[in-house]
Amino acid sequence: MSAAVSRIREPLIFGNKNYHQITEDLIGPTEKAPNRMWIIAFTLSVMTLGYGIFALCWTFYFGIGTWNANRTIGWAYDITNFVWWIGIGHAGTLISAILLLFRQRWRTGVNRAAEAMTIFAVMCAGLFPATHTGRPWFDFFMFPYPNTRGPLWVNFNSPLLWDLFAISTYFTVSLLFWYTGLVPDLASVRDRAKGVRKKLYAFFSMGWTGKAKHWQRHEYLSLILAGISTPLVLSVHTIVSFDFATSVIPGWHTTIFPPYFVAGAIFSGFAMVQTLMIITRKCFGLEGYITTNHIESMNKVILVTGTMVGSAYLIELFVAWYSGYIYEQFAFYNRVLGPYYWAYIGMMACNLLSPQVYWSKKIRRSVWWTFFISIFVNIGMWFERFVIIATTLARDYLPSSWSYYWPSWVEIAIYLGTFGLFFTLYLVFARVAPVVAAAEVKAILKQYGDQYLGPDAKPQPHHHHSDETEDVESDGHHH
Amino acid sequence: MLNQSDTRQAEESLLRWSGSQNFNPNAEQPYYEYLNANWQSSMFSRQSNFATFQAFWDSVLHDGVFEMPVGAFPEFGWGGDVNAAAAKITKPGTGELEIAFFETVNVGGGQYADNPWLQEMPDPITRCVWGNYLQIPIAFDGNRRFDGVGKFKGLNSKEAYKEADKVELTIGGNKQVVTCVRQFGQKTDAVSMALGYGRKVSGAAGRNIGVNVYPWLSIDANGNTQYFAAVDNVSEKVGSDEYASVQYHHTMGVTGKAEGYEGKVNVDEIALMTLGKGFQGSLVERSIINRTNLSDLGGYVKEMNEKRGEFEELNQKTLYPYDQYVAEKYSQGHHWGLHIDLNSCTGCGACQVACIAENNVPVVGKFEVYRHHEMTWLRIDRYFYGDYENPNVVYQPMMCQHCDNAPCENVCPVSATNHSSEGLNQMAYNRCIGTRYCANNCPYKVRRFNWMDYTTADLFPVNEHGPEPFVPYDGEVPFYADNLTRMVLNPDVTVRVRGVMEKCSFCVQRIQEGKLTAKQEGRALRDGDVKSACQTACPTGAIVFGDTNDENSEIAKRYKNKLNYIVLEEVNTRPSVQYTTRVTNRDEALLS
Amino acid sequence: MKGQHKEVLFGLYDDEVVLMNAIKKAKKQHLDIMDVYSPFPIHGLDTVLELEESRLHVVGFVFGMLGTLTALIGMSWIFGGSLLFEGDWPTNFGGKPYWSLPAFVPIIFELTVLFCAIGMTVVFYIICGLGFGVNNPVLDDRITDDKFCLAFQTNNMDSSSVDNLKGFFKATGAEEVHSRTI
Repeated sequence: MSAAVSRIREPLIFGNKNYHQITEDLIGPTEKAPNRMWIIAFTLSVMTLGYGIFALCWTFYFGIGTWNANRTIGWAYDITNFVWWIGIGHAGTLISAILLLFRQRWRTGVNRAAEAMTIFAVMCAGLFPATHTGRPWFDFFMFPYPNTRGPLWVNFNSPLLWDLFAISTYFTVSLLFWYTGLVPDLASVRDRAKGVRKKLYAFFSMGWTGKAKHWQRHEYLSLILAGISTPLVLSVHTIVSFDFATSVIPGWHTTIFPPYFVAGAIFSGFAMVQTLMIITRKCFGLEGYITTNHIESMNKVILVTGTMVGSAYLIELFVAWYSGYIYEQFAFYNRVLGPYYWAYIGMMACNLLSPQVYWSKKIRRSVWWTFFISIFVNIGMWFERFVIIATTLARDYLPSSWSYYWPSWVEIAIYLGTFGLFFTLYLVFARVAPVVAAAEVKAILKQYGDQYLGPDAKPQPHHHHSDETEDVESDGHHH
Repeated sequence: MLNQSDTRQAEESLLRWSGSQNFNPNAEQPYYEYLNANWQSSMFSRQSNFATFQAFWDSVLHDGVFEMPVGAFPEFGWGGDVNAAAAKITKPGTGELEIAFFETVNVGGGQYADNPWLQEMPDPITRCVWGNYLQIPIAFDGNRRFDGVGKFKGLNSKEAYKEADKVELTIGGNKQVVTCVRQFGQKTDAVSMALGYGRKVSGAAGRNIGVNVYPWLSIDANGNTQYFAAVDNVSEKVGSDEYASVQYHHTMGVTGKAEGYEGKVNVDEIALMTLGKGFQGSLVERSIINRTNLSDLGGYVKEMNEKRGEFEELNQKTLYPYDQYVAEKYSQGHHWGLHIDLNSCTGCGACQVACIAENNVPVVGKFEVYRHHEMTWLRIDRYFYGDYENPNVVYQPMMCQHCDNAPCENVCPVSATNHSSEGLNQMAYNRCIGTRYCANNCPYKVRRFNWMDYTTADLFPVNEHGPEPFVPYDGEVPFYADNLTRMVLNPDVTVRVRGVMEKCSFCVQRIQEGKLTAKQEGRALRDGDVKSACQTACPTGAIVFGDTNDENSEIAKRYKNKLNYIVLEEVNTRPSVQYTTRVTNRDEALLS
Repeated sequence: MKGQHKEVLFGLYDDEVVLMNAIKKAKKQHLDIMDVYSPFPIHGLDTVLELEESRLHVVGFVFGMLGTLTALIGMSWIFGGSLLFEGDWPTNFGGKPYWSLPAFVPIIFELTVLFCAIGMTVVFYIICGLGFGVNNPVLDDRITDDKFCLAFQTNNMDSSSVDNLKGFFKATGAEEVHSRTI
């Protein structure tokens, strides 16, 4: 076994589980028929998705003029929602990659679902750049492919183009990382399944057998993918922030955006993971795997990143004053006192103030508090992007161009449609694949199961062996 | 007869119909002979250079003009009654509230109501389109707010949220519902409204636009129309209307009296601290409108040079190879530029309409303008400054500045916009996919997006068929798609489809035409070969376009004006458009 | 895999520690282990089995470098090197220089990561012999559940060696012992 685990650590698996029970608990749900809650949720999601698709078709047919963006505020709902979804997606990769590098074992309870959430969130996000263009049928112009028009290439100076590469890379790498981790669990499902299900899962589990050499390479691959995903997470949202930071508009043109956006992305991503995990653990009865300790750890991250984001807001205000540059100063007067002051207040309250409750350990470990605060955080992060985009564009350099924006039904419908898409995909995922990484949880059972660690630990009978690097606590031999 | 196939000269028709005695319809050239006879009888005697009429006649035809010798002027006297005449001058109305009626540059007395270009051209004062609006006075409450006065308090408080209020106006017993607009400079005991709208009988563009104010006009005892009236009543708000104005913020630093401050202060900056619905509140030391008074001119020039020196110093600290581009590209050949004299610009809007006409810019209608989807490439921003009750006005034509360090070019992902070696910011319509990042990044907000299919250019069957007329399958030809309407289009300019970005191109089609003509004639391009549409239309010569590399051109001379400045110079966009400081010559007391 | 028939004698263990001890014993006895299967990666297993270190990181590096060079050379070829060399279509975008490395960095980074990830993952599946629709024989369905499997190939073994192995399994605490042909 690996190095000794400190006795201060809290258990991560409750219920005195053994490996088989873990399989039953985590793989079992994919074998049962969906219950009524799932069916209702799925129906609602699909209906919402349908509404969104209808609104998209309406947009394609009549034009972006069906939205309320205008000559001054060229981006509003579309890009706000894009950045919001991409931000949410960052938690999954962070949990999988960065927490792996930091050897935070609690990631195993949430990483599978969080990564799935990332992929679905990136899909929802990707919808917006593709459909917000005036001529979406020409979106392929953004790809640098050889053509007969010169060949006419793309503009590599443009942050939107960097976005294209960043998000495609992010989606691909997340998908690869997620799927590679999923393969052993799909093999578990396969080995318990019969008939058509067995054939299907056999196809998707790629012939995994659990050979030692394969595991070795699998671990290696995961580690390296984690290693490159870490800078990827940081770079993707940095590049998204460059959409604004590299422009000349006051309120956008600021070097604080890259770290601010990344912190904000992690902040909103973890909040969404919390929301989903709390629902998931309740529905599938996984409180033993997605424990209060997991929830508390994620809340700590939320507190840290929320405070970072909040202090970034305060620094922005300070720097605007200190700079003496009147356009920048006005940009912040406009945010705080202008026609969208309510969005700014919402942002401050939800992002800076609400996570501060997590200083209290009791609240950090409370499922109800977590659920509500996580929703507030996401609302606050939406307001943040709205404030950055719509408020700033509404009033910039030349006062004669100032304008006002309010979304049209089409834009709201598309946004709701992305929720429909996200939840539809998530519900399908929860149905067909184990929402918790079963193999990884088994790997930490001996160190973090509650029978080995924490207040309920039972003294384990010593097992005879000659090796010195033996783990003091987790030897044992079970039936 | 010279007539062929039953035609005749117009003059002959007039002479026949008027039954002119001196006219012989049976002559071989009837009008010519009439003219000849007339000159012989009336003009020949007034000169002494020629002895024979024939010689005189030939000489006059050769010269084309006959200058008559001027005789002595008789003495003038006037025997009228000054007092009686003075008494006939219309006095201000006797009621509490008076309304004044006026003609706008758009539709005049109504004769141009059917011209959609003029309807869509924002009125220079109200900046509203497609209709006439009751201009109501506003006041600064001394605290933080600008609001209507008296009866108008609270009206149009949501202009910044795109909403205008409707009230019922009663004048001389006639009630009509009108939409309001808040107007700086409107006296507090008067309102005003434009003539020429509300036509019931007109073409498709002019019908039922606005309110017909003629029922409110009265005729006095001498038969003169009174273009003013006493207002019986202005009701409370009776409804909401779309606020079809292209400009929401009007002030560039107005002053007034505020509580807690001595004398007059910049109320714009005080109003800035109003939460939520601040009407006109801004930081106003922006480098957009440089202005001064004649009395301050010397000091101002010094200050401006210092400031511009500072800007230039900051702008030098750049990673951009601007100097290299200048050396390699911009100083070679042509570098097109525009110069606008803010002192000459009267805000008439002729340049705006000329631009629309020249460049096939679509008219989008009131509803789309209300949504700020207007398409005009050139707009005339109108700002008020000085005492808010008696403000100074400045008009600033704003179009694509063709920045050498264009923020828009950098951010287009598909390379739809780039900079030419002649300094033009080029726009490739067929490449644009419409991400609108360029418009967001433009600090001058001069880019326009085709939000919907305004031009029916997307109708491929219409565009691809041959010379025979387009016959639609459902019987009705969409507006703009029929051959007659399309004759308004300039064939030298692309018609843009839905989803692409457009902006002022410095009339690139005229530039190319000028260059081509010069090339074909085997000579260099001269100043005056290329004139942009706005330059051609400007009645005061405020706009000048040309090659800034040509030292003899008008624009190069204008560029030497010491009062020139660049809008938003500190952003280091390096525009190709320069403006002249607005210098007023007003009494000091009227300035602040 | 195809056409080769392996006769396998394998033992199923309930606990990974027991399995590790068994492997160490097997190594001491110089038994030729065919393979070890487990439901999750066991720490220290590769060392005990004396497995060669994987060289996936080299693959990752090579692909990553490929990505970097593709991006850098591609963009340089298209945009040109300002003074140095003429690109395919050098364009003046907002006064920027034709070859603007700061602007190229995001794409260079992203392509490095993309190529590295895709390359490594695809190579991983290929060298493991895994892929969509690949059907590797599964010794026991419970291996992916909670059983640990130690397998010996007994193709050319005589019955006494096989019995020896069976005895080994019993001595090291295997719960079950089976033989199969795959």
